[in-house]
Amino acid sequence: MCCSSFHLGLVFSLLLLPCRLYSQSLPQTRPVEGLHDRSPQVHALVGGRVVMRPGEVLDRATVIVREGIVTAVGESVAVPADARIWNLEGQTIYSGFIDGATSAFDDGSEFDASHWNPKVRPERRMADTLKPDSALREKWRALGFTAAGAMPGSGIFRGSGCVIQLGDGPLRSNVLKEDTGQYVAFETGRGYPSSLMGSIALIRQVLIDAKWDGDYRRVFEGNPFGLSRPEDNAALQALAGVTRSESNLVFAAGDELDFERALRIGEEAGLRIYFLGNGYEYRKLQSLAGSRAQLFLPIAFPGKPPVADPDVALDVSLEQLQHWESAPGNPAALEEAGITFALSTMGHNDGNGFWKHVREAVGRGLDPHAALAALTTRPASMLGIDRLVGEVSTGRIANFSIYTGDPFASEKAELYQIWIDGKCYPMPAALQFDPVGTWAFQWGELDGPKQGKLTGKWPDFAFEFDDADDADDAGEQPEKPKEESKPLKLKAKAAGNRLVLSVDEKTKGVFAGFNESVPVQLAAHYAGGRLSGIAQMPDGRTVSWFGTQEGDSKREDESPIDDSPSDDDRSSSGPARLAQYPAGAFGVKADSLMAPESILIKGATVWPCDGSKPVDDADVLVRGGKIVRIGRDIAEEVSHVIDGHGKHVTPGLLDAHSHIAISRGVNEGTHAVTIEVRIGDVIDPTDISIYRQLAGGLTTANILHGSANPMGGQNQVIKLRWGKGAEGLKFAGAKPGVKFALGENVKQSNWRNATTRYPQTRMGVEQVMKDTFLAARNYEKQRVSGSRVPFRRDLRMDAALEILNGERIVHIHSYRQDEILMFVRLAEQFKFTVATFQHVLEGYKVADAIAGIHAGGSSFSDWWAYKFEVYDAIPFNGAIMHNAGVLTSFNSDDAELGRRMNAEAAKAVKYGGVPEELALQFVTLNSAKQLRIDDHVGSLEVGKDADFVIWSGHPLSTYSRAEQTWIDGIRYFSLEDDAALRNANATERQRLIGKALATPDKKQDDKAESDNAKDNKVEPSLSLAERWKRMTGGALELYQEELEYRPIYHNGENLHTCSGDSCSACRQ
Amino acid sequence: MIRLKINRAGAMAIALATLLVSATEGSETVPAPPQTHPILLRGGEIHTVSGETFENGQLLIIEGKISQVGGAKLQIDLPPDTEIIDVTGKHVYPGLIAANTTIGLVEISAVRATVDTAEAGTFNSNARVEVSVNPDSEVIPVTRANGVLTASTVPQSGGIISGRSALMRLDGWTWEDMIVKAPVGMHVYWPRLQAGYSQEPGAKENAAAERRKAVEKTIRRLEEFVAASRAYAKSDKNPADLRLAAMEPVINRELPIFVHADGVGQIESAAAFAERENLEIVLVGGQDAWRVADLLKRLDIPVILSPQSLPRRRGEGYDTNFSSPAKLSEMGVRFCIANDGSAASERNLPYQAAAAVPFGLAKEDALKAITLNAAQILGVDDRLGALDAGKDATLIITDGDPLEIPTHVESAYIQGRKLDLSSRHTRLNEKYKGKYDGTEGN
Repeated sequence: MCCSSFHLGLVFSLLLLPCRLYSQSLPQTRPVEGLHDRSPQVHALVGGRVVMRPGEVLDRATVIVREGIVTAVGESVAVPADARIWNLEGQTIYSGFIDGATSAFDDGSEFDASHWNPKVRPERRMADTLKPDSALREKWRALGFTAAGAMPGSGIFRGSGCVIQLGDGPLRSNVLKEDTGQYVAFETGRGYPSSLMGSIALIRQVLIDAKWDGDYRRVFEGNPFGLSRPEDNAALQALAGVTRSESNLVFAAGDELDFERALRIGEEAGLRIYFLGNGYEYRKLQSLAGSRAQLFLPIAFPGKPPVADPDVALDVSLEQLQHWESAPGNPAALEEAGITFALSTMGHNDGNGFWKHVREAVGRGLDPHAALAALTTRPASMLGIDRLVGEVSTGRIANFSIYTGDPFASEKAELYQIWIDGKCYPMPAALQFDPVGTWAFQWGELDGPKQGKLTGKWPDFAFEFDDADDADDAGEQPEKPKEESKPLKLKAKAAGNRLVLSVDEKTKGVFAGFNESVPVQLAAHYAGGRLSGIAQMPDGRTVSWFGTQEGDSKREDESPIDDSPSDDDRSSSGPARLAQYPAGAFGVKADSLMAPESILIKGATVWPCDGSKPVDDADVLVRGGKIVRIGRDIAEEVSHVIDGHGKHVTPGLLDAHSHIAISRGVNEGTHAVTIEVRIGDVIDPTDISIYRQLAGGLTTANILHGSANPMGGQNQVIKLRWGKGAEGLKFAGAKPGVKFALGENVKQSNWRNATTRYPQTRMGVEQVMKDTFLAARNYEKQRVSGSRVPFRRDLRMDAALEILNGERIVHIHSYRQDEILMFVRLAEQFKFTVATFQHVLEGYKVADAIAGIHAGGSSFSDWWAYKFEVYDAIPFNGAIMHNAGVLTSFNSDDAELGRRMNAEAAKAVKYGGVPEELALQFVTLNSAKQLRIDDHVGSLEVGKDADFVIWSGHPLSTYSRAEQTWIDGIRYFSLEDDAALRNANATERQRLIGKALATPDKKQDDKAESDNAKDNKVEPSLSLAERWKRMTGGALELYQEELEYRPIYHNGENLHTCSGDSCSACRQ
Repeated sequence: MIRLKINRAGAMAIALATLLVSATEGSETVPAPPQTHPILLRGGEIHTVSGETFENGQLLIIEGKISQVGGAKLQIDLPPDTEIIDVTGKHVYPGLIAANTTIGLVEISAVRATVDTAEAGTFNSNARVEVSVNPDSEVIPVTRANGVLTASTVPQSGGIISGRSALMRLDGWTWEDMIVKAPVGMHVYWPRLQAGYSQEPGAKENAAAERRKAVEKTIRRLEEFVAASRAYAKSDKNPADLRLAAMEPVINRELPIFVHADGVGQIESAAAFAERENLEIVLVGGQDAWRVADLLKRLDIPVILSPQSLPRRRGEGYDTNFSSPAKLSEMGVRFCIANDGSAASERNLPYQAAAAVPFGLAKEDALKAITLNAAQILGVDDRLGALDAGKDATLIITDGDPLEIPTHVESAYIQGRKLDLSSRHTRLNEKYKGKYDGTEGN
C-alpha cells in the first residue's frame, strides 16, 4: 500500500514542485528552508499489464520512473536498487487519461477586454485564470484523468487554453502547456451580437482585424512617418498566432449546423479549424470527414425520453427519440468515418457519468483502442503535448491511470491509482483492504466465537460467526433466539484500515457469561490478514480480540473482468447513422426523391403567369429540370407523365418576405446598422416550415433579416429543397440583397425600456442611413488611395458600398407614406437600387413615388391594425399600387400564411378587381422580378426552372390544395410521398417508444412521485375566507408562468413581452 | 415604363370631399335605422343552412324577423308596403358568426391603450367584456363588410378565469344596442401541459414531472375556486363577493365554461374537471381534439376550432389542423370554426372555414361551422345561424360563395336593418384611388 508514502509525497511535492516537472537537474531558484530533501524519486511499477499505446500491450511488465519521467518500460527491465517497488500485479497501467477539453477549470473571473466588444477576449489566458481549487483536480483524478485541456468557458473569442497536470501543489506549476489554441464560440447575448449571424459576422471581422493589425504594426514599426500609432489592442495581438496558423482555432459547435458554419469561416480566413463537438456529429459525417477537422468530443448522451405517459410522449419528437437512440453510436460513427477526435467531459456535471457513456459508446461499436486513443494519444497530439504525454514509454512524463479491470468494457473496473509527474495518487480502491475469507478469532478474557467468515464488498462487510453452540458453554445462552441453524451475522463498515461492527440485540449472548441488555461494542484494525480490536463489554471492561485470516482470501463473488458491453437498452444498433435528412419526422432519404430526366404534364389547366390567361387542356414538357415546351398535344417520350386532367398547374409560388429556416435569431437587433450580418450564414435546412410550405405550393422564399434596426442584414433567397443542407437551399445566382427598416420597430417604439439607442424617431432613421452611406463613400476613397498603409477591410462598410454600387439591392420594411417618400428621396440621392418596399401598407398613398424609382411593393394582402403605423392599411393597397405601375407582390412574413399564398393572391381580385392571371403573378412572377430571379423562376416559360405545382383545382380557390410541388424537375412534395413519410415516421416512432419503454427508469422518478403525493394533500376544512385568501394570494405569479398565452397582439406575439429577437411582431 | 401624371389639385379636392378619417372620433359608418317596412328578397339562391337551398327563392322579412322563406312557388301574402328586392343571380346566406374574437376590445394590438382583453388577477369571473366593446371601433365595419355580422367577443388570458364573453351584433349606437346575448361563456385558460423534455446537456431529467406538478397545483386552485363558489351560493352572500357571485350560473350549469386548451393533456384534464364539477363545457382551440374525439363525443363537448394554424408538433402532418374539422365531423363531435381571438383579421373568418374543405370537410359543413353550428354552441340557434322563419333577419347577399375569396358581400342585414358596408378601408380606397385617376401610363 502506498498510503504511508502518500503524505510524505505531498510534502515533497510542495517543496519541490516548482522545479521538478521535467528534471531534477533543473537548478532550483527558491532557497531551501531547513534541510534538503534528497529522498530518491525513483519508482518501479512491477508486474502490471502495461498498455503502452493503443493496441500495444505488455502483459507483465515493469515501468521505471525517475524524477517524474519514464526511463524504462519492458518485460525484462531490471529494477534499480534505489527504486521504490510497487507491486501492480493484476492491475492495468494506461498512459494517463487526458480530458481533451473542459471549461470546469475556468475561474470565470471578470475580464477587462481590450477589444471594443467585451465578448472578444482572445488575450484571456486560461493559464492565468485557472480555478485554484485543488478539490477540483482531485475530482478529475477520481475520474481517471491525469491531465486536462482547460478551456475558457465564455465569450466569443474566449481566450487561449492550456493543459494542466491534475496533481496537487501550486496551480501554476501544474500548467503543462500554455496557448493550446484559441477557443471560439457562437455566443450571443444582450449586446452585439444578439444573434448567431451577428456572432459569425463579428468573428469574421475580428479575424480580418487581427491580420490587418499585424500588417499595420509592421509598417508602422518600419517607418512611422505619416502614420498614427496603432491602437493598443491586446485582443488583436493575441490573435496574431491564429492568423499565422501557428495556433489552433477551436470552435464550439452548438448544433449540427454549426460545423459547416465554422468550416466556412475557416475557409475564408485560410485557417484550420478544430471543434468542440456536441454529440450530433453523426449527422454531418461527410462535411466533417471532408474537412479533416479534429474534434474534442463530449460524450454525454441524452437521458431516456418521458414516454410512459402517452400524453407527454406525444410532445417528444421523433427527432429526439432518434437522437436518444443514436447518440451513443456517435463516437463509433466518427471513428468509422475516419474523423479524429479526443474525448471531453463536457456535458457531464463534474464529469459524473462520463465512463458509463464511454462504455456505452464502446458497446455501440467504438473500437476500445480508439476510445483509449481518444483519451491519450489523440488529445496529446491535438493539444500539442504528444512529446510529453499520451504513451507509457521511455522519455514521457510518468502520467498513468491504473485500473483493476478494463474501464472501457466493464463497469466493475475500478480506478486503482493515478500517477502524475511520477507521483502516486492512490484511489479508494487502492486504499481498501479486503478481509473477505475465513477467519479464526481469539478473545482475550472472553469465550467468543472461534471461527467465522467475512463476506461482502468494500465498505460493507459482514461477520458470519459460526454458531456459538460450537463454543463450549452452550447452556449459558438461554436467551438465544431460535435461529440456531443460522450463523450469527453482524454487519461491519470499513473505513480507512478499520472495521466497525454494527451490533444489536443479537450480539447478546455471543460471549459466554454476558446476557445483559446492553450489547457489546466491537471494532478492529486491519493489517494484512490480521485483525486486532477491542470489545467494549457492557460491564465496562475492555477486552482485546484478534483475528487471523485463514487460507485463500479470494472473494467468492469475484468474477473475471466482465467484457460484456454496458447494459443500456438503446445499445442495439452499432454506430449512429442518419438514414434521412433532416433528422426526425419528414426527413428524406438522399436520392429518394423522384427526379425524372423528363416530365410531361398532360391535359391540365396551365397558368403560365407570364401575363397571359390560363390555358385549358394544355401540356407542359420538362427536360433536365427546365421547362422545354408548353402547348397542346405534346407527344414525346418522357420518363414521367403527370395526368393533369382536372388539375391546375402554376409556377412554384414565391414568398418575397419570409423568416423561416433561420437559426438562432432573425434580428441582429442591437446596433442601428448591422448590414455585415448575413442570413446566408445561418440558414437552417431542418426547419419543418420548409416542408410545410412546400406542401402549400411554395418553392422559393426570400429569407430576410428582421426589422429591429434601420439597416439590418443581408438576405438570402432560397429554394425549398427540403432534405438538402443549408448550401443546397440557396438560390444560386440570386442578386445579393439587404434588409432595411423604417418606422416603429427601428425606433423601438413598441419595446419596453428601450429608449436610448439612436434613432428614436423617423427623423433619426433617415440620418443614420445617410451617415452610413457617407461613411461608405469615405471608406471607398481610403480603399483606392493606394497608400502604403494596409487597408482595414470593414465588412459593414463593404456591404454599404455594395449597396451604393448597385451590387446589393435593398428591401426596405416600411409602412407610412412619409417614411416611404423619405426613402425614395434617399435612394435618389445616393442612387442605390430599391428592390422592394416591404409591407408598404401605405404604398397606395405614394404609389407614384414608388413607381418613380422602379421599386417593387411587397405587401400583406390585408393585414392591418396590429400597430399604430398600420392603422391606415387597406386591402386595396395591392391593387392600387399595381394599377399605379408598381411591381406588386403579396408576401407572408409568417410560417403559417406561407402555406397558402395562392389564396392570398385572390385578395387582389377581391379588393380592387385585379384580373386573376395578374393576381396570381403577385405570388409568382412579380416576386421573382423583385428578387431579380425572374430569368429562372416565377412563370412557366420555356427555359425556366421546372418549379411547378399541381393543384387540385383553381389556384385562387380556398378549396384547392397543392397535390405535388416540384423544384428543378424534382418532386419535393406530393400527397403520395407525404403519406409514405407519415407511415414510415409512425412505424419508426412506435419502435423507438417501445424501446424507451423497455428501458428501466431511474429511481428518482419515484421520488418525484412521492413529492407529488405530498403536495396533493388537500386540507379539507378551510373556511371560505381562508380558501379565498389562498386562492388569490400570490396566485398571479404562478399562473403567469403556467398560462398558455394566446395571441393577444399580433401574430402570436405579445409585444409586451417582446425580446426583440424571436418576436414576429418585430420582424414584420 | 409607366409614367404617372399626378394631379395634385385633384387629389386634394378628393381628399377634402372625403369624410375625414380619424382614429379618435369614431367610425364614420352610421348604424342602420330600424326596419320600417317589410322586405322581400326574391329571385336569388337562398341558402337556409338549416335545410334546403332554394334556387330562385323568396325570403320575407317583417320587423327584423324572417317571416317566410321558400322557393319560387312559396305562397306569400305580401303586406302592402313591402319592398321587393330582386336578388336574381345573387346568393343569400345567414350572417356569419365569429365565435372567438376580440372585436371591440382591441383597436390596435400594439397600442396598449386600445387593448382591453386581459384583466389583472387570477380569477376574473366577474369581468364582462360587453362593457368594453367600443361600438365605434373601425374594426367593426371592416369585419361585417365581409359578411361577419355577429361576434362573440371574448376575454383573453387574464388569469385562469379571464371573464365572461358576450355575443354582439356588429351594428349599433352603443354596446347595449349590440348585445345579442351576454354572458355567453365563462372563459378559462387551461394551464399548458408539455413534456419539457430536452436533450441539451444538463437538462433537468424530471422537468416533465415538475411541470405537471405545477400544473396540477393550478388546477387545484381552480377546483378550490369552484368549491368556494358553491359554498358562497348557499351562504347569505353577506358580504358580497363579485367573483364568486359571477360563478353562480356556472355551477348551476346555466353558463358553460369555455376552456381554451389545445394539447391532449389539457383537453383531457379540462374534460375531467368539467365532469367532476358537473359543469357545461365548450372547448376553444382544441388542436388535439381529434385525438380524443371519442371522449368529446361521449361527454358531448363541443369544440371551437381554428384550422388555419400550424401543427402543434414538428412531427405532425402539415394538414393536422386543416384536417381536424373533417375528422371531428366524421366522429360526430359538435364543432364550429372561428379565428384564434383576433380582431383586425376577423373578416377572414369564412376562409378559416374553407381551409378545412380541401382536407375532407364538406363545403356545406364548412358553411355551417361559421353559421348554424356556431349559433348552437353559443346558445343562440333559436335566433341566428340559419335562414328559418321566426329567426332574426340577419343575413348577407353575395355574388357567390362567401367562402371563396373573390366573392363580394353586396349587402347585409342585421334584424332586417340594411347595413352600410362602407368602412375605413373603402373610404381610404376611394380617397387614394382618385389620386391616380387620369394618370394613365404611357
